[in-house]
Amino acid sequence: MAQGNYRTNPRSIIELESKHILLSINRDDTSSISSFSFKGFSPEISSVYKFNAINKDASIILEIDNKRDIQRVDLGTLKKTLIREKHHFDIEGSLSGLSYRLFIIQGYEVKASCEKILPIDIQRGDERSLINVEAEDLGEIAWRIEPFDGKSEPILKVNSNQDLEMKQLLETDYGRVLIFQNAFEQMLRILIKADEESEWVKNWHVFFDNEGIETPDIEDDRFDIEEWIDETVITMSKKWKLLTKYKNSK
Amino acid sequence: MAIIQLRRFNDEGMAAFKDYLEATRENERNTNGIRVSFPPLPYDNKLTEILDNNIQLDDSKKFQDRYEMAHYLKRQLGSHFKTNDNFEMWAWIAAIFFEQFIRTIPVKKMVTSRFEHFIPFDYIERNYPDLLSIPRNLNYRHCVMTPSYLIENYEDVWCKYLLKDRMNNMGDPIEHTFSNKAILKSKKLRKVILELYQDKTTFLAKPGCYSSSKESGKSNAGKGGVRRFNLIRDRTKKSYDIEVMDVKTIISKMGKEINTSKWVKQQT
Repeated sequence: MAQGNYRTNPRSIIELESKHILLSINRDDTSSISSFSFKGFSPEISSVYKFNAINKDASIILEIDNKRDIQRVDLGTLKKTLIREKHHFDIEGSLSGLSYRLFIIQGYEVKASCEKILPIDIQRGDERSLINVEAEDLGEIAWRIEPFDGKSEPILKVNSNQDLEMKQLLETDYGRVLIFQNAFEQMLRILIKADEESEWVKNWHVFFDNEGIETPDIEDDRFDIEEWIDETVITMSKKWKLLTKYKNSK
Repeated sequence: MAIIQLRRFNDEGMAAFKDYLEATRENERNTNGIRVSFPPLPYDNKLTEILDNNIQLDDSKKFQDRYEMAHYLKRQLGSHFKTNDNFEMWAWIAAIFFEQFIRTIPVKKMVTSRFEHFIPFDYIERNYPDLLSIPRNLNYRHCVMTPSYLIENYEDVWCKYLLKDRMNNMGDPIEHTFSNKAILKSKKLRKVILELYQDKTTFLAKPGCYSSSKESGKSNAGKGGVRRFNLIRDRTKKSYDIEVMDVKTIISKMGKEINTSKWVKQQT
């Protein structure tokens, strides 16, 4: 069998994390994403190894992608960063399931990048919530989790038809018990096959740590996926008590 | 018929055109490509209305390709040459040149393309949502509106790449281009694609550049081809900002698959 030596990150591109980038999304009255804001970098970024060695004239670029279209936003340079307040999206197609990438270039070479930024969601407080909910025209479908390939963060999409009031339903005990538990289970199934290094997965791992839930390890032969999903759903359902809350609210 | 005034379908005309497309495709499916003859819908006063007395089209005109057709329409239509607007007019124009869009060889037993090639997808979505089975917008497949949109908005050499194929074939380049708007938004990416995949004599895509790649075996089919382009582009973008690079440098940084492929070798 042919063999070779390969080096990961051969160009030593500095990896930035979401927490270093002050990117947030804004929502309109219907809770749909309407604009984004960029307020520079967090002070922590200066402690990132070799970040301070980047030339201050290096340019900052943000790319927003919905798999159908792409928007490129110039954010100035490290020396003179351009702040963007409620910047409009110029992207064709759905604004749910957007992915954000920021990179810093000298000449044409990328010196530092964050390949998947998890933006702060202002209307929900800075919670970087586990399950993001977005309204979309789903036709005859009430709700669904998408995308499900694990390559990017899955979103709980609810039908945007205003007569259905799906968003409001999710804020009730009835809606939560009907939708949220099943959505949670679906998310776990996607999480199992997702890239452990992606930001949204790391967020879930923090959640598991906080809740005392074993982090899934699918490479371990002894790890039983179905059993883990089952136990996690039962554990969290006991904690959330959604059914009891619904019963008590009647 | 020859010189006719610019018209558009009314709602009944659009319905009749849709019904015809469904009927002929059903017949073709059952008879291995035998069409229902096209009724004179675009000339029926009950199904159409005059849009502009001062604008005339020659419905007997035969076009070499959609590029030539789009330029003809641009010359003729004046202020009506607005795409993504007035879908009834674009459907009517598709109808007057309808015979030129019929395939000579059946695809899946059919010679008539699906409805969105003749009636803009947005119109169907608004008026006949039950017909839709594909969740993404297919407006770009329209045989007249999209060529017109392209020549109005993009550089000539790019339009030739997309539109110089036969009249009765939309072609892979349009399907690939509109599946992800990154290429339409980036002049640089368009230049890279043209550099790699355009035959500089015919302006068309080089033969085989849209082939699918083989998972196994020794076949080179698809290697470094257009179907692999977006993936390789995304990989390259992790290290380089291709929007500020020149075309030759981009290609040189796209890695072994592109640089050892015949698409690069053919240039030298």
